[in-house]
Amino acid sequence: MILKFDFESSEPLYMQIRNQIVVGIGEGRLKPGEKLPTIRALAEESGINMMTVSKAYQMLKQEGFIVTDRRSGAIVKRREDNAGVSESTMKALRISFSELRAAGLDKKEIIDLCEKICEEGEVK
Amino acid sequence: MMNMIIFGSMIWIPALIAYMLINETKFKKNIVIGVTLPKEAREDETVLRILGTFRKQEILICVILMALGVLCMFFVKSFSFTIFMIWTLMCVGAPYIPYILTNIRLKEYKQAKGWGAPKRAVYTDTAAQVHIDPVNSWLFLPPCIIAAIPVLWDRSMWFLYVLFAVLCVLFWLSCRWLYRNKPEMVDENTDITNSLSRMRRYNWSKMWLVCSWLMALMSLCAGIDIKWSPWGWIAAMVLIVLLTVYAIRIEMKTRAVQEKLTKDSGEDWYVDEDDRWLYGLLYYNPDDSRTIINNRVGLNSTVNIARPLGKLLIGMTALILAVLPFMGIYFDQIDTKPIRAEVSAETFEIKNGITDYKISIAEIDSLELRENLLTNLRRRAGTGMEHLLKGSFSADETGNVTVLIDPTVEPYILIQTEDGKYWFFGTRDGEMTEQLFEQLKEYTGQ
Repeated sequence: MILKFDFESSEPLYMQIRNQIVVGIGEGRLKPGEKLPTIRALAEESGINMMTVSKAYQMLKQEGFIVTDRRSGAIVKRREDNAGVSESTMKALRISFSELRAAGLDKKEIIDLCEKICEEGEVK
Repeated sequence: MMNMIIFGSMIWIPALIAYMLINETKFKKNIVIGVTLPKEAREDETVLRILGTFRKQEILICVILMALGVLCMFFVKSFSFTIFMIWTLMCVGAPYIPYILTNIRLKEYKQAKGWGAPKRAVYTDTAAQVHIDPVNSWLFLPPCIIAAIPVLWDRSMWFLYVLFAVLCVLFWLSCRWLYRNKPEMVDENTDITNSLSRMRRYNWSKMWLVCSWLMALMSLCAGIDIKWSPWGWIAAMVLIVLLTVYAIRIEMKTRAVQEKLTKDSGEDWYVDEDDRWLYGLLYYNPDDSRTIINNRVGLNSTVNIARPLGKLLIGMTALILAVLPFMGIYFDQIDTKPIRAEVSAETFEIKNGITDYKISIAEIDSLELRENLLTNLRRRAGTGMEHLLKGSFSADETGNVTVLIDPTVEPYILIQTEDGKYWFFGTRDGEMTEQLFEQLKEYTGQ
């Protein structure tokens, strides 16, 4: 999977790393058990500071998306069945939902939009 | 004679530079003359015309520079080193003028066609193999040991052999630390990324290992030259030629693989980092925390001039190039600097520049006035110019000998001191040398 880091974006780099990996897992491009680059390797390759990469990985680990090991590095976590949605994800979803309602979308439009995003993210 | 040597040894450089730069008109990793272009550009008439013009310009510059070099070889009578340094500067700089202009033209055309990429964006492939092991470090140990072996039979030049061994260590360090372990990503094809990365790392490591072995063999040649001159010197020249050929070959091989593996790239998404490369030559990226960067095409590394150390290294390189003509003036001046000598009842002193040899009259064992140079006089450490030889030499009659003479002005004075050392002196005035000899005979009672 290709990660893109935009240094001109207002979004912090660690959030860019975190969000793209989460999207990759969600869309199936990063499979459970797949190895991610080590913090040092990703920092060296992209030119991003190691602390920034470490921060992103720490966040992903706390949120349960990856597991880290000193020997094998970072691995995409195998999700347990019926693991449920985390509280932080629900909170973010509520905020996104409210933003859509504030933008004038009704319930049906929001559902159509969600379906469209799901279809785009399906692995071909 | 000096002109033949200095110009003759470098006359092929313009051709090599032209060859390497013309090679950059072939698409490798979607890059040509330092500009990343999509696949459709390979058939674009305007692009092909710009590249064709560039090739003709490079060939013309190469022919002019080589012709100038040949003229200098045969017709320059004075200020040889100064003219040589200026010619060298032209050889290094002139071919890059059309390169930079072509880079600018291609970038303008690229922008006009809308082939650009977002600025300040970096891409990385999570599936790419990042850490590729370099060649085993222990392989650098044998050349290091072999380089030091001549110390066993020649203690007088031990510092030279140790220096060669130290260079082997430096090459090992360069192999490990002057390389950025960054995948050679061209597009989304991870297999190609990994193949390019592995090939580059392997050739990089092999190159440094070969250099280490060269240092070891050069050290042996220096040791052999002491006993069996001039075979050691001849072997050293052969090694240098072999290394040069090998270095060019490995660079071109790397480029050929990069061209072949990426011939189908550039249709969909591809990596475009042009905004980080000034004129396709200098890497400038303040967002990149690294100083050492791999060149996009070929095997070499370069520096990130946005980093303080990168600025310093580029600044030093520019300074050295700017100083070259002045170095030429300095060397021309050295060749003709006066040789001053004085004899007193206690000492004999002879000077040239900062070189100053002083011998106590009481320690002089024998004196000889010679009309000819010592047989097979060859330099070990020192200066060897058309009108000045000074430093540590060796000759058939004496073995090691300290020399300060103008080899074009006879006679010369050969002195042996009580400790068995030999000294071979002469001034730029034959009559003065004869007078000095007479004075030395008087003071030594010989």
